Amino acid sequence: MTAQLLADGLLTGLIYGLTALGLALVFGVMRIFNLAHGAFYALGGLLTYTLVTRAGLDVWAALPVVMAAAFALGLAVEHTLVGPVRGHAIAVTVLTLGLGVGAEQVMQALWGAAALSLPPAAPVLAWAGATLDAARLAAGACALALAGLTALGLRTRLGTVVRFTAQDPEGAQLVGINTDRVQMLVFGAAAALAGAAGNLTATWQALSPAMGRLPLVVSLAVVVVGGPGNIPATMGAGVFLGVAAVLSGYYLAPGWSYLTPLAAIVVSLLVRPSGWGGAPARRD
Amino acid sequence: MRSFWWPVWSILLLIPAFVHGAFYLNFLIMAHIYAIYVLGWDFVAGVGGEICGGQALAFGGAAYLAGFLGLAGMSPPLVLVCAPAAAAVLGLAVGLLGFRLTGVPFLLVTLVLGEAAYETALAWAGTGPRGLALGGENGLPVPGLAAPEHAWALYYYLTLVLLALAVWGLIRFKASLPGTRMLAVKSDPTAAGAIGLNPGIQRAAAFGLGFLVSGTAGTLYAQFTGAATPGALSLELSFAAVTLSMAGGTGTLVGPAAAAYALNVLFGWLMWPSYWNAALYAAVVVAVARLAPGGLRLSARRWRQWTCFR
Amino acid sequence: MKAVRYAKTVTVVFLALALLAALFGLTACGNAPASAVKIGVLAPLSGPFASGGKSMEQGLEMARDEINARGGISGHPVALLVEDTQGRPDVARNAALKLTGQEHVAALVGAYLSEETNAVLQVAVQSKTLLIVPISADDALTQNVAKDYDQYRYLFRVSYDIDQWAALMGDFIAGGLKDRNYAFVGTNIDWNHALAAALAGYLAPKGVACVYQQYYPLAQPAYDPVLLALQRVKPQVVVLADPGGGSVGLVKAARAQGLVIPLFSVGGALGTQAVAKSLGYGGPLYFQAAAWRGAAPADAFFTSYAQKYKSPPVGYSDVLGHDALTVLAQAMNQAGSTAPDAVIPVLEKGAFGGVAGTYRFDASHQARWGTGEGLAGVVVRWVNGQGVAARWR
Repeated sequence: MTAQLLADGLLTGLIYGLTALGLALVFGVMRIFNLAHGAFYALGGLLTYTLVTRAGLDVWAALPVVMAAAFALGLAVEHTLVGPVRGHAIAVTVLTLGLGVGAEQVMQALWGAAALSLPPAAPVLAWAGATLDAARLAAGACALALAGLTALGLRTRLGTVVRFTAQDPEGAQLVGINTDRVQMLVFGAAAALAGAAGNLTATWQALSPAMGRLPLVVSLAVVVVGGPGNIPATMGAGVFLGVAAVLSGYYLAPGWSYLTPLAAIVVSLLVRPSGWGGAPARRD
Repeated sequence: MRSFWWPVWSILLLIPAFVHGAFYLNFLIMAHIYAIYVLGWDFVAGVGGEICGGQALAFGGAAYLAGFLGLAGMSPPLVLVCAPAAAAVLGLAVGLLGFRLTGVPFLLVTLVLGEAAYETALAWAGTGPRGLALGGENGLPVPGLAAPEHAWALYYYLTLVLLALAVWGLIRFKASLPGTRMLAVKSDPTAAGAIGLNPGIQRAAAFGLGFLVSGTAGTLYAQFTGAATPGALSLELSFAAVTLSMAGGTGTLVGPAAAAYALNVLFGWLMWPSYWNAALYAAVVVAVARLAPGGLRLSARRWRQWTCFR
Repeated sequence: MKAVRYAKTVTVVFLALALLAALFGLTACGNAPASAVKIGVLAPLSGPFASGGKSMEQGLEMARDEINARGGISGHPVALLVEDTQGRPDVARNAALKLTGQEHVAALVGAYLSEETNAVLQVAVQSKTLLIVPISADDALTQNVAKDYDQYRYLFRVSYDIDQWAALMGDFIAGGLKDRNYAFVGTNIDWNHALAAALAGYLAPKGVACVYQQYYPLAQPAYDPVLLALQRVKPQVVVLADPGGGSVGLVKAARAQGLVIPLFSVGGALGTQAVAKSLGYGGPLYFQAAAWRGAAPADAFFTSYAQKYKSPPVGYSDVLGHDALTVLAQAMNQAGSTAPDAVIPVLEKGAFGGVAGTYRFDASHQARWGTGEGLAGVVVRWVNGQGVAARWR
C-alpha cells in the first residue's frame, strides 16, 4: 500500500517537475510568470491526439514533432507579444493570462469541447508490491532525462549565455549578447518542454482544451515552492508536491489533492517569497 | 465634461419608458450590475495600486452571504446593506496581504484565493429549512426585493441609481484627502512612508472600499437572479474585471464602467456563443497589455529584488 | 481629461455597434416562416457541457424533420429556435426571456443543467409557456408542480429524475448483476450526492449495501487514493458518477493498477464509443442509457442519426431531446391547438410513443421511468468497442 502510494507520488511528482520546468526557466531568465504555460501543455496533448489518430504516428514518435511545433509557437509568441512588453511585469502576467484563455477558445474551436482519449501505449508492470503503468514509468524517466538535458544545456556555452542574461541583463547587453534573442529562445524552449509534458501524459488522461488549467496551477506551485530557475530544486519541489498531493488525497480526502498546490502557492508566497530551494534573494 | 454625461444619464433614466420587453430590461439591469462590479476592481487598481486577481471574491462572497442572511430570515433591503458591508470587511482582510506582498505575487495569491473559494463553494453542500438542498452547483436561493418579473422598473432604477452613486462617490473620494493619501502611497510608497502614511493600511482601506462596491454588485446580482451560484466566484468573472477595466482605461473609473456596460449590453443582446465572448475578452486583454503596458506598471527594478537566478 | 475622452469614445463606439447589431438582428431574426410553429430550444452549445448540448440539439433536429415529414403540427411546420445557454443560469434566463418575450414561441424545450432549468422555469411560468425538460434530473423541478399546480403546471419532464436514476441503476445492480454490495465514486457535485443517497435508499431494502463512497473534485490530479481504497474494500461493482473527462483518467488509472472490478457509469464520456474503444480496461464496463439499438424505434433512430451526423448517438441527450419534441408534437396534434391550456390536459392523460418507449406522466408531470413502466431505460455494456444492451431478464 505504502509502496504504491509512494511510487505513484514519485511518478506524479516527476511529471509535475517536468511540467513546471519550462515555467521555472522562463521565470528564472525573464522573471515573468507565463500564465499561458498551461495552453502549451494542452496543445501538446491535443496535437499528439491528432498526430496519432490522423497521421498514424506512434505516441513516442509524436513527441519530437510536438516539441518542435511548441517551440516554434513559443518563439513567435515571445517575439510578437511578450517580448516588447517584457519590462512591465504586471502587463506581461495579464497578457499571458489573456493568451491562455484565448488559446483555450481556439483549441476548443479546433478540437471541440468533448473529452478525447488515446489508447494506452504500454503494458502494466508489477514491482515490489506496486503495479505501475509502463507508460507512466517511461514518462517519469523522460522527465528526468529532459531535466538533466536542460541542466547540462545550461552548462554549455549557450547555457552560460542564458544564465548570464538571467543574472544581469544589462551586463549581458554590455558585452554584446543579444538578450532579446536569448529570451526568445528560452521562451520557446519552455513551450517545448510544456508540450512534451502534454505528450507524455496524453495516454492516461482525457484530452480537452481545458486540460492545461490544472497543470498551470501545479506548475505555479512548483516554481513558487522551488524557487526561480534552479533545476534540481524545481524537480525536487515537483516530487515533493506530487507525493504531498497523493498522500493528502489518500489520508485526508481526495479533494485535498487539488487544494494542496493552491495552499502551497499561498503559504510559500506569504512566508518565503523567493522560494525554499536556496539562499534568499539579495536586495539591492 | 458635464455637458456630455447629462444626456447620457438622461437617456439611461428614460429607457424603461420606451423599452418594454423583459428581455431588454434584463440585460440592461445586468449591465448596470457588472458596471458596478468593475468599478470596484478599477478603484483597487487605480487608487489602491494593486492588481487583484480575485475580485470575484467580493462579488460571489457578497452573493453567498446574501443567501445565508436571507435563509436566516433577514429582510432583503437589510441584506442589501449588510452583505456589501461584510464584503468590505473581507476586502480589508485581503488588503492586509498587502503588508506582505505586492505586484505579481499579490495578483497570484488573490487569484488562487478566488479559485479556492470557487472550489469550496462547489464542493460545499448543506441542508436548509424544510429539507431544501443547498450548495453545490445550484448554490443558494436568495430572496429579492420583489420577484423580478413584477418589478423590472424597480430593479432597473435601483441598479442605475447605485451605479450613479458608485461612480460619483468614487470619483469624489479619489479627489478627497483620504483618496489622495491612497494615491500617494500608490505612486511612491517610500516617500509616502516618509510623510507618515502607512502603505499597508492605505492599501487595505482601498481594498475595503473596492470590495464594498463590488460586493454591492454581487448582492444585487444574487437578489435579482434569485440565486447565489459558484459561477459568481469563478475565474472568468475575476478575469472579466481585469479585462473590462483595461479596455476602459485602468484607474479612470468612468471608462471601465462604460466599457462594462457597453460590452454586457452587447453580449446580452446578441447572445453569441461563449467562445466569442471569451475570445473577445482575451483579445482585448492581450491587445491592451501589448500596446499600452505602462498603465499596469511595476518597476522592473523592484521586481528584480524579488528574484535572483542562481 | 483623457479618461473622460476615452469613456466618451467607448460610449460612442458602443452606440454605433448597437445600431449595427440592431440592424443585423432585425434582418437575421426572420428565418422562421410566418405560419410555422416556433419551438424554443435552450441548450449549452459552448462551454464545458457543449457536447451534451450539441447531441440534444441534434436529437431535436431529427425529431423536427420527422414531424415535418408527417405534416407538422396541425398542418404547420415546426421551426426550432435554438439559443446557447453556455452552461450558465443567467445566460439561460436571458435566452428564455428572448424566446418567450421577443419570439413568442409556442413552447420551450430545455435546458440541460438543473441550475439552468431552474432559471428557465421561472421565465416559463411567468410567461405561461410550456416547458418540456429533456435532461435535468433535479427532483425539485417536478416537485414544484405538486406544491403549486396552478403556477407550475406548464412544466413536463421526459427524462428520468434522480429517484428514477437510482431505480434504473439499482435494478441492474441488484437484479441484473445480482450484486450484494457496491461502491459509489464520483465528482463532488450536488447531483451525485443526491444520486448516492437515492441509490442507497433504493438498494438498502433489497439487502444491497454501499461499502465505499468517495467523491473527488472536478479537477483531480490523482485517482490513486480512490483506487487504492477500492482495492482494499473489493466491492462487487463500482458506480462511477462522473460524466466528464475525469472518468477517463480514473478508468485508465484503474487499468494501470490491474483492477478488474465491474464499473457502472452514468454515461457521458464513458458512454461515447470513441472514448470506450481507447480504454483497455480489464473488467466489464457498463453505462446507463435511455435507449439503445435492439428495439424497433431505437434501431431506426440510431441508424438515421449515425447517417446524418457521422457518429453514433450516445443514447441519452440525443434520444431524450428527440423524444421531448416528439411527445410535445403528438400532444399538440391531439389537442388540435398549441395553447398550453389545451395541451396540458392531453399530456397529463395520454400515452405518447418515442424512441425510448411510451411516455406517460404522473401527477407531478414526471415521465414514468422504471422496470415495468413504458420506459425502462437500457444498460449498455462495451464489448470490443461496440455497445451491447446488457440483457438480464
